[in-house]
Amino acid sequence: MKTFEELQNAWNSNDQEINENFLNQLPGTIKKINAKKRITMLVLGITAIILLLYMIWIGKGAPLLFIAGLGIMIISLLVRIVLEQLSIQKLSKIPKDHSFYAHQERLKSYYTSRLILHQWITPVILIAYWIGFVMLLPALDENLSTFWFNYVWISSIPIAIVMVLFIAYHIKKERNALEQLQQEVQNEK
Amino acid sequence: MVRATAYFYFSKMKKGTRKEFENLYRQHYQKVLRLCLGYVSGDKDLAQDLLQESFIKVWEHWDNFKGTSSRSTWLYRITVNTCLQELRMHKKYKKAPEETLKNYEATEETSLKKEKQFSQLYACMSKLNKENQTILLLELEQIPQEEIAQIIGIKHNALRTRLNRIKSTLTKCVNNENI
Repeated sequence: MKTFEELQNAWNSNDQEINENFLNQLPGTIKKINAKKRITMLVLGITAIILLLYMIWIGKGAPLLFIAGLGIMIISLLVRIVLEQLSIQKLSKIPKDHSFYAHQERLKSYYTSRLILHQWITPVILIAYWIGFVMLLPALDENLSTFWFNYVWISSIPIAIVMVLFIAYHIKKERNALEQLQQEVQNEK
Repeated sequence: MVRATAYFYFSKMKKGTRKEFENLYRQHYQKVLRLCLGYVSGDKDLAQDLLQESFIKVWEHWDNFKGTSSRSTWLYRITVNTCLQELRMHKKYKKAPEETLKNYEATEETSLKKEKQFSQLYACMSKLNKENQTILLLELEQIPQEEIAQIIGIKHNALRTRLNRIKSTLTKCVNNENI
């Protein structure tokens, strides 16, 4: 029969060698983390500029419906990318030095906002994207051969399926995270 | 080379702060590591990852310390929140205690018994919810109860009652497992 104190003594006898290398490597690690953040923002910024330049270039002399459709598609993509980045930043800004309960509450609010993003905002953005795509079709029909026109609209179907599955996956993921947070704390407070 | 780079970045911090961080790391290394071990059923590599992630957060948030609690309370709060968040986000941390037990079978005969005993202790811990597991791990580290209450965010009296129940549950479980 072991008492709690005996378990505690055994527990505290379990010492390991201090990893001194970590102290030497830490500044390098921090530098890498910061560089990664900067690269992500740079890539997103460049993507946004390329998409806008593409719209200006392709839109010259094109029908208004085509330009509007392309604009809606590009803006939808950019809005989604910006929202995702803001959401990632929101998670990293949650203070880590709050109490267990306070931190849990902040995380619950974060995952609830993620759920709203995936359940409501992303589908609206996707619908806008597909409306934009449909607006392109008359101009594509006029300017492309039958083969390429059929190729463009038929290939859009699997893309649409993948997007719907993507949303479903993320809704499930955020729901699981919320449920997990709720399970971690039983009503014993 | 690593050391040279390290000193370049360390030099950007005040010398006193740098020293303080290193002292905190060395002083609380064992406690933080054991805390992390408790969350990953004794897997040393995973615990080391959690420890490093926690100290990276400590480093990043060093200037946010307001001094309303002790540095150690602040450190344990960051460790607990970081470990639990990492466990939620990455599947690699969701290792069953039995899996860790299998790993010990390959170790030397002399340490085998001790390792198995620890593994059984981890198995009992893993039956608790994350909140109770955290309270237990902090109590095992002999952190003052006032401090544990601050880390969890509950009143001292509530913690005391809860702690008695957790201790009793753990002791029963461990003895049933014939530790």
